[in-house]
Amino acid sequence: MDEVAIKPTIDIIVCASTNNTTSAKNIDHSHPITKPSHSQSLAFLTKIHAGYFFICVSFGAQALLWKSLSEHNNESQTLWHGFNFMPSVAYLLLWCLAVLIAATLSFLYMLKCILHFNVVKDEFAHHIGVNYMYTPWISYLLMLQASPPWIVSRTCYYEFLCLAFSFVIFLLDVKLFGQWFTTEKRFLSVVANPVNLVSVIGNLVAAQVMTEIGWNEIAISMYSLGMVHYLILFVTLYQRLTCSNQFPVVLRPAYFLYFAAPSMASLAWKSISGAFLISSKMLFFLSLFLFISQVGSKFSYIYIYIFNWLF
Amino acid sequence: MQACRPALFKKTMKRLNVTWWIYSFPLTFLGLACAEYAHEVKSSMASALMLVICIVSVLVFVFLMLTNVLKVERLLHKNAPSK
Repeated sequence: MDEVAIKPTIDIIVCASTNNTTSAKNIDHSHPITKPSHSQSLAFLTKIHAGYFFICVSFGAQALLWKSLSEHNNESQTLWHGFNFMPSVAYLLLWCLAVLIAATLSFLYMLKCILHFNVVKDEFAHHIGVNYMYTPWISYLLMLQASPPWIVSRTCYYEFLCLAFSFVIFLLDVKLFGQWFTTEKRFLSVVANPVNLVSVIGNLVAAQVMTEIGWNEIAISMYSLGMVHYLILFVTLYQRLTCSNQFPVVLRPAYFLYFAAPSMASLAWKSISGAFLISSKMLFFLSLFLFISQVGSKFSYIYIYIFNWLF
Repeated sequence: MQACRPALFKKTMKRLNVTWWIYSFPLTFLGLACAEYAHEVKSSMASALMLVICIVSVLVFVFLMLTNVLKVERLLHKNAPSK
């Protein structure tokens, strides 16, 4: 398994770093008219949006998973032996890659903020786009959490970074959650969509990280903020009218966020309370049920499709 | 608007998009929660569940990485889903 994981990782570095060149070449093909290279890079920048940070979130989460598995691995247990072959080298590589991709994307996004501030402002004003703004911060927090202690030492700088990223998430909360009940055009019943769950996940990740550095009070406040809004969102999403707000088809994968939130909540509650208590288990089972229902409904579509095709 | 047209749906879903990455991390979070649960309960059933979910998550992640590496230009040219 480690070979499979290592191989593509090397490729993606190359691709991430050559992003600029490939896109520039393609533009050259389509527009033979000579343009200054400056405007080409500008056109490329407008295509990058905060949603690209989902890549970093995935990498960060994966690194965290491998880290936690290799930690559990040390204590001998029944099925944990299956993970003995998993070297910590793969985890380290995954983490480095995550940092590299995050750095590249952040740099590009910062350039976009400087050069195309209006586009960023539009993105921020969009009812789906605003949720994407959470993703960079979530990915940074996950990467900090997954960072190997011998590379990123747990000093006051680490705490400062955690605090800073959580504070940004808090500011975004004030904006987004505030809008849900104060701004008439942005009432939750109008704008509710599965991507909103990203904001809840942001709060929960922040809560978990804050507990790890020992700021329990802030952790609990972030957690409660996240959970209350999770409940509201959960109910609203269930009661959504089909025609009130059309959800873009491209965003179908966002339905997977339904079960990400409760499993993150169970993890966060585990770190706050110090043990995997009944409430964490309840959240875990909820998440598992939502996962099964998502996958089950996907499969039922496949059955119907096959059935239609046969007869 | 696109929701009304099923033909269009197939087209958009076949094309690689950056939103595909949303498939990966919820599975990973679920895997993490499973690992904690298995650690707490210490039954073989829970460990098996954890193993299955973690493997699924790793497979999805590797698949996404491979498709992204193979089709980088599509990833960049397919634009903002939020618009």
